[in-house]
Amino acid sequence: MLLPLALMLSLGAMPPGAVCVGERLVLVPFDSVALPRPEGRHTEEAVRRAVARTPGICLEPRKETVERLVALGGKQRACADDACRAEELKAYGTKWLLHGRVLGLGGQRTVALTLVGADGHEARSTFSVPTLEAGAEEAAAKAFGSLWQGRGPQREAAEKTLRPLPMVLLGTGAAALVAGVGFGMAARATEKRLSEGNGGCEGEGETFRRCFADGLRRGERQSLAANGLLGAGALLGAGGTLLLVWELP
Amino acid sequence: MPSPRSPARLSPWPSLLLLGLTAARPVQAAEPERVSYALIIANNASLDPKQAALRYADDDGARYFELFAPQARDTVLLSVLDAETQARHPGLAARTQPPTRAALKESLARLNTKMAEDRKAGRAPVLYFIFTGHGQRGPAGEGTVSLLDGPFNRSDLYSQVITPSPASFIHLIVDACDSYFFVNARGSLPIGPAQTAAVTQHLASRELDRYPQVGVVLSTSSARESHEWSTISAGVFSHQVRSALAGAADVNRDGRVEYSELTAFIAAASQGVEDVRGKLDIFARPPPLDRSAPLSDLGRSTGLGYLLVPEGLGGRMWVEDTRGVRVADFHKERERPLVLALPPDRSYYLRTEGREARLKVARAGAVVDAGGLAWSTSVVASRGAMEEAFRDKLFGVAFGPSFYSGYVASLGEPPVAMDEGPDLSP
Repeated sequence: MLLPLALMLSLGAMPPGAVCVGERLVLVPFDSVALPRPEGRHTEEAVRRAVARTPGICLEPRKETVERLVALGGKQRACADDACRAEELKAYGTKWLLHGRVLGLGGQRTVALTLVGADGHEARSTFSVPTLEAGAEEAAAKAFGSLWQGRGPQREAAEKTLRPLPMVLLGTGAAALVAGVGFGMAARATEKRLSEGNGGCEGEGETFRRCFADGLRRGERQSLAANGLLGAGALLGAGGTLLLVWELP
Repeated sequence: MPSPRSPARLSPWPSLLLLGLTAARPVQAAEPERVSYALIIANNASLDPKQAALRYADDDGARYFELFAPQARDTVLLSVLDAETQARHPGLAARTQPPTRAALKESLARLNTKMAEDRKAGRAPVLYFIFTGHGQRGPAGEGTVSLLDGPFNRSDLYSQVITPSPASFIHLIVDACDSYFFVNARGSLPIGPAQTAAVTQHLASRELDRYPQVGVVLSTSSARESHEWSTISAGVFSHQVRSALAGAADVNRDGRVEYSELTAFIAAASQGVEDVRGKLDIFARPPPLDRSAPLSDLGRSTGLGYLLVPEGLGGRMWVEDTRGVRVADFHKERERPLVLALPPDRSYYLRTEGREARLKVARAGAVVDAGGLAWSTSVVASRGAMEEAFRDKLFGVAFGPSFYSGYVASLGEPPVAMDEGPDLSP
């Protein structure tokens, strides 16, 4: 019965953003053509920021991707078919891979993006990078958004409606548990009061009997409410936990 | 009372320190803006009645014009285009002048005036002097090329083109018989890379070395007409040069095509051709003033569009526009990307054996990613032994860092700095 509460407390103790709910995506460090490496990296960072703030995506930190790439030999595969690309995704341990190339052609900066899905199928998009820093991120967000809309998970819309439900269930369950514990403590206090001395009742005879009976009924109601709330809280908490686990990628 | 974060309370020392550090750094001189000019002479006719007229020298001229016009400040084409070429390049004939000595002199004077103005304005003008047509070696051993109204010899080249030119760099590209003697005074023809060092040494005392701003790319083959290929309707050497300049020779992906990259590209493209008639011999020398001076720079602001052929696509490929003009050929390694500069506002086919994909370069600066093109099956046919030798062998060897490194090592030349790949720092 205390499991949902413990889960809630542990979730609450985590720093915000530590748990990412969404599709895991690896952005492979960008290559550049006709452009110095630092400028290519600069543009890659803008794209990385844009991808990171896309709802429903959990972007792997660059450090981890680089470590993985180095472990794979430092070179990216030159795949010509879906099967090869699907293998590449497995090697990266992800369902989504984003390749990019920054081109410094004709005095402009252009980025060519390739989004590869778990089936190895790829979607491509190119966009011009404005000179302003903020503009670069916005252009990247737009270009990646168009790729993600077409290739992203189809259940994305359903996720948007489902995602708050586990949290609502968990929250309600926790509130019910807290209230149940409160009622339980009140019932316990009533019981203690009635079992010692006169139970807080004054007078004698019928007056005393009526007061004592009222105290007993109040204790019963408190006990009933505590049990009901604790049961409902446990059910809601368990349901919320199940849904949350189900929705985790 | 100002708040603690008010600018009025900020200490001036960090700013002063930053200013001091900035001032203490050595000031790097900005590279002057390079502006290009192209003078293209293309002449099918020969002054020697024993020499047959060429079929595709005018086509080469037209294609050089289409490659340079979007990126040069002024492009001049001296040529009489035949009916077929005029049909293939509508409107271009109106922009040409005949390849006569008078037209050449007038064009040179105009370009020299513009280049002198550029120099005054602090810009660095670059002149491309391109000849495609007949050439021969005179009785005195002096090379000449044929203009409509007479020969234009080596002395003319130096006295009328090179010496008076205010250009910061001059790139001579000559596709003609015996063109080696059109540029150089004497000496045996270079046959292969092994003899290049000897030839270079031999030329050290020759006239060309008095002009360190001049670089040359020459076809040294003795018969231009045997190096025309009807499938591409062009001279093979000129087609290879244009393919290289369009970006196919950019082995290190820095957007610049240097002399060593161009010669290695042509060597790779010609390596498979065993028929002696199809063998190409070239001579190239970068400007001694800057041996890394680019023949082509895709990073510069131009009026061209671009085709990105990404990793995964490889093998022998070529680009043809919807008029049937073969724009570029290359044999790409699958592991590396390639970028080609293409004239904009037209549609093209990217072709490989048995497959083709249509694409459109809608505007200048547009980048088309060939990885996203839809491919369909295609059939390419050609006839004749020479045709088959070109079709099967030309561009038969993949060009990439491996070939390039081996080639420049055999020449003993310093290679271009290779691309290091993506930045893998955290």
